[in-house]
Amino acid sequence: MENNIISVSELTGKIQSALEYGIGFVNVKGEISNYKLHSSGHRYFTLKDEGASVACTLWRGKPLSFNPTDGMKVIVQGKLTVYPPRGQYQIEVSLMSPHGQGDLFMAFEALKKKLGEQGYFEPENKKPIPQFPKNIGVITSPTGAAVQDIFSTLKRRLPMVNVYFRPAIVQGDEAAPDLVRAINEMHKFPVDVIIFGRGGGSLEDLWAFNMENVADAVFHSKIPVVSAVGHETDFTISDFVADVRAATPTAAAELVTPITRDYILNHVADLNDDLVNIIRSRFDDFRDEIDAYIKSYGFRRFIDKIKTKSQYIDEIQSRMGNNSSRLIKSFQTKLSYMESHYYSLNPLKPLKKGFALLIGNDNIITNKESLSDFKNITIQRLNETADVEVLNVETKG
Amino acid sequence: MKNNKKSFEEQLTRLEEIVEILDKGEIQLEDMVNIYEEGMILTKVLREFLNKAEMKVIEINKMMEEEQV
Repeated sequence: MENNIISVSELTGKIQSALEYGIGFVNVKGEISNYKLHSSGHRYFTLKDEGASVACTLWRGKPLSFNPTDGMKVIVQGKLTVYPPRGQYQIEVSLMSPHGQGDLFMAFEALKKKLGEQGYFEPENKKPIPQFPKNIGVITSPTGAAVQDIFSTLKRRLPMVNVYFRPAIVQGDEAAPDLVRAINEMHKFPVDVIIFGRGGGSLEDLWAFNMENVADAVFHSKIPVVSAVGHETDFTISDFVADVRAATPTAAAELVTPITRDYILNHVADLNDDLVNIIRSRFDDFRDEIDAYIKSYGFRRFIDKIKTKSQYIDEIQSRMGNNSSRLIKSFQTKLSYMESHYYSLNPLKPLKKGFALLIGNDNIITNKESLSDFKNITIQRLNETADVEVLNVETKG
Repeated sequence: MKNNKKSFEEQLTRLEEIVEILDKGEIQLEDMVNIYEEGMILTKVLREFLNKAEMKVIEINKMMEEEQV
């Protein structure tokens, strides 16, 4: 029996060689849990599925094309080994990629790097998005929520736009060439900006938007492109190349309509208020002017002015609807009141009965003044005037 | 309205111009009345346009097919 007794280390050594030579390199799929990035740079985590779990290590310096998080489904490639101090077997990971998307993910990273180096993502290559587009191009699937979201948002915000809708194939092998064609076709129409995208989906579903030919078409488009691919958390190459990336299709529709119908309606209402207020204050100015006439000698002219202005007001009123000229109407009422009121005070009126008016120094001589103050005066009758010299003035009582 | 030959932006710009001209107050009464009238008409036309506007959707695929026929 004694001969069969081995130490823990010996046992562990046997297990180690059994695992390392018996199993060795493995490709294992599972879900990451308990992911820890140690300060040393090594990464430790557990790979698990419904029935089992296995410890994994990823040594410092092993590159990763993504940020692993707990719950992420991955495929690890590595060597099965043993950690003797704890008697634990583990996988020394040499390569890890998201499950089912491993190849895609790497292709994505490679293309992103390549296009980045070619300046496809540079801010100076981004075209400005028009503030008030008339014609909006939409390239997306004719089915699904994205197109409905885009249409309803545009309709709500800026219903006077024309939408040039190019239904497109947005997933599968046909998608990338169709998207390229769609962008090219848009250039045959007077489109100011293109919304380009689709609703959410898996990385495979969105894949066409990660293809180099699509990226090229977006980059070389002469029309600004707003991309809206998938959900807020999805990023595609098209998003990076596009002039603006919108988080969702709805957000894209909002982005291309920064000035909305409601905004313009408010603006027009403000302008309308300005118009009315300015006219009101100008008419106030005229009234002041009229008041000034009343105080001056030119009564005849004053009456004429009032008549002329009343006539203008009548004219505007007849030319415009009743609604828009309430202001003018009220002003006209004031004017006609003034007209009748002042007309009765008009000192020229008695001239019709044969009375005359005495004018000295261009003003009517009132009873407070004395004729002896004047050397020459003017007598004004209805149809004639006479300049006369004041010779002798007698004062009564 | 009769003014439809002018684009929406041109009409809006004209309305802004009118307010500016009136605000400066350097015009004769008759011109003022005329320009005010023009402004009120523009306001009406613009509001009508904004309230009545309906989004048009032109499907490109169909147009392209028709072109090929």
